[in-house]
Amino acid sequence: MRYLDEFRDPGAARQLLDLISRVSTKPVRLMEFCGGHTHAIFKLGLRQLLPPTVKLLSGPGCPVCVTSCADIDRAIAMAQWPNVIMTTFGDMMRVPGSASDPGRPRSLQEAKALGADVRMVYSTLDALAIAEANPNQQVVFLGIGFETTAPTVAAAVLQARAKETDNFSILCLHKLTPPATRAILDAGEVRLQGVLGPGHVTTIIGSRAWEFLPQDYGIPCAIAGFEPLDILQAIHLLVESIEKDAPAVRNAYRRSVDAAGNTVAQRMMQQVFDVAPADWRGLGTLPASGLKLAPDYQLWDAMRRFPVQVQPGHEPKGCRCGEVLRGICEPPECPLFGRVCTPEDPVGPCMVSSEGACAAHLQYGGA
Amino acid sequence: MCLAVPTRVLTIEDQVAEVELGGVRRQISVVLTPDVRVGDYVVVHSGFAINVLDEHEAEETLKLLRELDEFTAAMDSPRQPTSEP
Amino acid sequence: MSKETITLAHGSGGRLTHDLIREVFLRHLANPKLTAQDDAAVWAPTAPPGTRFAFSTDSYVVQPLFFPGGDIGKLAVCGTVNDLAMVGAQPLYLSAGFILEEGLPLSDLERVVASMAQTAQRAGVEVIAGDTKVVDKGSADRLFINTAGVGTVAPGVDISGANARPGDVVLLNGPIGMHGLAIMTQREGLSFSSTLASDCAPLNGLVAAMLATGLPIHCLRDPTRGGLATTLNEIAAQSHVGIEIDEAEVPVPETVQAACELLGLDPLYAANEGKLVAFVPPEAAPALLESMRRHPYGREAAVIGSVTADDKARVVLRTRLGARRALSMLTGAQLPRIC
Repeated sequence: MRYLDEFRDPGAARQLLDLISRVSTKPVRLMEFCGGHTHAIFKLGLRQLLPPTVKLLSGPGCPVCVTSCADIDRAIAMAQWPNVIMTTFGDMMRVPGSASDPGRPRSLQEAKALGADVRMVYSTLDALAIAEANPNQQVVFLGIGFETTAPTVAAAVLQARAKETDNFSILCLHKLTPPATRAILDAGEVRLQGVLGPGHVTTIIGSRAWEFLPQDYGIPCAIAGFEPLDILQAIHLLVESIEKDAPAVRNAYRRSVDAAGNTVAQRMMQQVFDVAPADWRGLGTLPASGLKLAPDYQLWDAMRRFPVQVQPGHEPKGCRCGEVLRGICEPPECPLFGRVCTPEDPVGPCMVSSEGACAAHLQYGGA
Repeated sequence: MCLAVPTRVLTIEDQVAEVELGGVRRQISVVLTPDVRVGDYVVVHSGFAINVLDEHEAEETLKLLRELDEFTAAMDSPRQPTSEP
Repeated sequence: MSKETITLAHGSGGRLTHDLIREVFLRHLANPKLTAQDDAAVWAPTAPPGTRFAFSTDSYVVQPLFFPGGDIGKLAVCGTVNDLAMVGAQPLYLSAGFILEEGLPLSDLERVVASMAQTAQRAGVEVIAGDTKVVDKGSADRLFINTAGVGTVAPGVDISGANARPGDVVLLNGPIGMHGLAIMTQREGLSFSSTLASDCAPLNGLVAAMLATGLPIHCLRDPTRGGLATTLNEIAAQSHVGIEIDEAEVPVPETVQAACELLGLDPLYAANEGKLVAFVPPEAAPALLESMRRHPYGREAAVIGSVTADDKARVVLRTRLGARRALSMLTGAQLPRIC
């Protein structure tokens, strides 16, 4: 497979690991923002191959994991609204909400088992197609994801408008990654010397969007793709920048990322969405960190069509997902990890999502 | 969720492309990459092309990986500008 | 027959039921025990002393009914034949119970039953008992099948998931992920420049060839739902051993890998319906591998790993980069209606 296989070459990977070992003289803590990176790193066993001076921490870049309890409860309530077909990416099916009311389903999966029409889709366009095929029903798309996904949802909304598909709406829970990164650094809870930047988010927003890291925080950021050589190149660049005390934004995913990003996608996002405060599980409400539908696109806002009321969300007792997302708790340090909280019976979202740090630790750790 | 894969564009019609990876074909939207042409490689996420892969940069990176000493120096040089829409 | 679709009357037990049995089931599956149409099939065992019986059952709810490389009927025969083969049994007879949804096109049923008959013949088994029920529209999704099977295990054959021992070599008869991805890609509307077909196949012939070497085989299992990773974990737990697998040695077809990349799946967890893993003592491995490679269903057989002493019964994957990480059982949601 072209442009995948070459970036998985084990020989080159070993050379890069060698290089990192040679260059790294002092302990450094690097945060991989993106859940996709956490997953890849664990699946490859990279943590054990890197020199002991390099410590990797997972961050809040898992869109499922940072969706607040109240927002999940809203999605469940909407799914149970008569005549609604709730469409969602697969991971969100099993994330537990507050489940404070014993009669209420705890997840979209449970709502489905109780009769709600909940369907898994791979793309917002699939949801739009369902709306077109079911004109007498209301189709809601559960819009989670960062800047990689938000433009695809914007494009779907524009298509809905063009085709006058009015039985389609978005529960807009999209979030923005630079504000969350700032929040983690501002909280001062976790010492970080570098950030492994999300390659596909940055494909959209451009590497310039990360300049605030060296400028305001004095730490380097290396944008990484998701293949082993991409991740290792980025780690090498970070270690090198730290050793030279020369923080900068460095692009280790040049085949997909440039300074400006995908301006067509950015314009579409700006057209359909406005920036707004958002509730991040584990981080609280962050200003200017999420998206909501712009005034011209209110018609496609599911919250306006289905004004569901939910109790204020509360974290399940003992759940430390918030701390895991902030990089201050390693999953095995959570007392519920692997005992009470498992992928089959999750307490918090970090165990459910395929990109959650807890799920990655449990599935790939312990060798 | 950051899942995105490079695929080759086989056909384009009405902002829908048929793309191919390892012998598997799929239809995706190219509204986010209006300048894409048949034969290009695109990065695909959630049923959309989110960028056209820069093959020159890909080849450069691979070449450098074979010569790791010159690697870091070249990593920091400015990229060739891509054509804007 | 005058009717094009199955109706509730076909399940009433009356004339229409008898017509259906005669014109569809008996026509395709004909054998003396079945066509006798008694309430039960009767036969005398002819096996030598020391022979044991093996018995297994499985139900099939795969969606869609027809897929590249097979259909629910072929699956229903192979699945039960293979379960018997995995304990070293020679499969002899199957039963087949059908639950039909009102409105199922008769042509679909005929196609499925014809496929079962063909597969049974290839596997050398007979369907000697059967049943048909029809339920209201909406009470079953088109067609469900249950098959049960009986076979004989020759004296001296002792194959079980509890028999894996440290030092054993793990053999795999061919590439993984084909059935699961053939189903998924049908559902998700992917297409292929070359067909990705299910690997659905009866493995009793392959197992017979392996047994014919006279060499010891400790354990056999077919990695169906949950894939290779899940099956290895089951055996590790049953035998109280550890297993180490070399990622680079596990054959995965390029189309399966590519489909997995596009759908976010892992081939190690994808279902297989024509694959087996064998746990064999190291001295027997080369000759057993040879016997597999000589058989049509073992041409790409490979050594994929070995058994270690590990009281925690962990399955470990040595990744292409040389790291070792856990290869867990499939956790969370399985893909629904894969088999």
